[in-house]
Amino acid sequence: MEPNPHLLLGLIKQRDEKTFRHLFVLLYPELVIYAQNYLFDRAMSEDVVQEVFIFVWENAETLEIAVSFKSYIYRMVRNRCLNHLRTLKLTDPTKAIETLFHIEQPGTSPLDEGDQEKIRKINQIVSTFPAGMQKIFKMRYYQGHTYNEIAAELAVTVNTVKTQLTRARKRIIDQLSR
Amino acid sequence: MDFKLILKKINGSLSDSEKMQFDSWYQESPEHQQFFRKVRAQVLTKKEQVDAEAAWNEVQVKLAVPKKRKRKLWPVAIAASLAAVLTVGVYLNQQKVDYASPISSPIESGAHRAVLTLEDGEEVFLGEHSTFHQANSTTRDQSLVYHQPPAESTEKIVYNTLSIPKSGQYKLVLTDGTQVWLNSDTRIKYPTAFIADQPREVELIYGEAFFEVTPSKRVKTNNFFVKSQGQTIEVIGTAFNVRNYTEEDQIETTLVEGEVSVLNAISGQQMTLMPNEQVSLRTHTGHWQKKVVNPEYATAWKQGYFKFKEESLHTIMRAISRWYDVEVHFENEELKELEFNGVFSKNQELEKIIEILEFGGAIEFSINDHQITVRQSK
Repeated sequence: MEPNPHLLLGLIKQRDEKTFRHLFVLLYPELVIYAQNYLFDRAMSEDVVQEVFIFVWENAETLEIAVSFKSYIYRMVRNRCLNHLRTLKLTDPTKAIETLFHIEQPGTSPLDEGDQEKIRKINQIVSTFPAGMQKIFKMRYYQGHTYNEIAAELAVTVNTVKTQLTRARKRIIDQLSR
Repeated sequence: MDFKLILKKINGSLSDSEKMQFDSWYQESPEHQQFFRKVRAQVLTKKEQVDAEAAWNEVQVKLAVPKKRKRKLWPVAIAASLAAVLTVGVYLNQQKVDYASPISSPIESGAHRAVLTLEDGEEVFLGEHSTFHQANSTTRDQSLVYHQPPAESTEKIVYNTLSIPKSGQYKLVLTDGTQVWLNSDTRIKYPTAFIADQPREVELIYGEAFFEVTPSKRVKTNNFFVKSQGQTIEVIGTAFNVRNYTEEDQIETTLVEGEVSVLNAISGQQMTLMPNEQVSLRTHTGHWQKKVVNPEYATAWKQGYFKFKEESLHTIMRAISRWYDVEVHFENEELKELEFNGVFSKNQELEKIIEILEFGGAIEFSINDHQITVRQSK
């Protein structure tokens, strides 16, 4: 449960560094991973997220947040990432990037909560995997297990795990780029 | 271009028309190529853990960063000696008081980067942490090293080209062990292997390079030649700097060690340089002039310094614009001729250097994004 966004923003406006630090430490890791999904570059992603936080701190006075703080800050990060892609002359009209992110980090981004269409699309892709691949894929991406853990659990070799994940990846990209 | 085409390229499922679209995007800039490689390497890989506490420590400092000191100009004589001013510059930095919005981002110094063009035209971006390995070449400690291939494979000469962008630098090691340091905005073409008993030849297409050539008696090849538009240097075994920026209309060759013979391709004359001698060849007229210099000024860039002695602001700002990738405009042409002495580290934000240049009191700068305007101070 997130506290009232107006309350949070009010505290930041009062330069309450403790609140700000708390929010930073809480949201920073997932935001960096979110940004990295667009930028494919860890250092650049960290920079973008830090800049957004600094922007909020600097401009708290004039900010009005109508949605949750988390949605707000996700949106700022996404906008900056899309701006960067624009400088590389790239667009993402079918939201392939966002969908990739959902596959890897289900339920993190608040931006597309309730986007049934996207959830359906992802489930549909994963459900076309053969049973073994599906199991490995879910253990890796949804439950965050290491290759070794998955191999031990399913009594297969680490190589099999890797091969299955590579094949799954190819299927996903195939589906997304249709 | 639709991001999807990148995914299709990775999957090998581009249609013919999509392929044309992708190729033209890919060829458009090194940034595009670099981005494509990053996507290919990282798409659908599990992301590493993020350390929020470490990041907070960085951010917290920035939240408290003081605003830049208001540019204050001292009524001191023109032509300040920067070296003398350096310590004062440091003192001034500690005087910053007014705290406020730090959002203006400083202009960072350059870094190790280059674009390698292979024989078949493929381009590879080499960055601060890139690794590259192909045939007899490999990256090592921010340099590109070529190893001697097996003798039978060296019958046909294969050329690669290394281009250093603005705000970049890189080092190249050729198969004979010759080391070449390359400054920003430079391009060099060289064989991926030298052939025994044949002259070693590289072409400095434009820019600045420092060579440490392996003497011919140590390798089974003949003399080493550095060609540029307008002159050819024949190296007898030695270390020297060549500077050949297109916008400067001259080639400057400075010998540090050994001996070189310079052929003026315009007049057909030949000149031998001894250590500490420098020859400047005017590429428009073919006129050239030799003088004795302290070679440290010509080679400081490779040690990570800008070092100027009675150097015009015009030349100084050109060096700065290459290393920081900024555009410089002079409000008044006469300012270009102001001369400065000084040494400063290339490894600092541009704003610090500008502060020192301003301290003399003759000139002031305004920075707007990556555009710098120089004007007479009021």
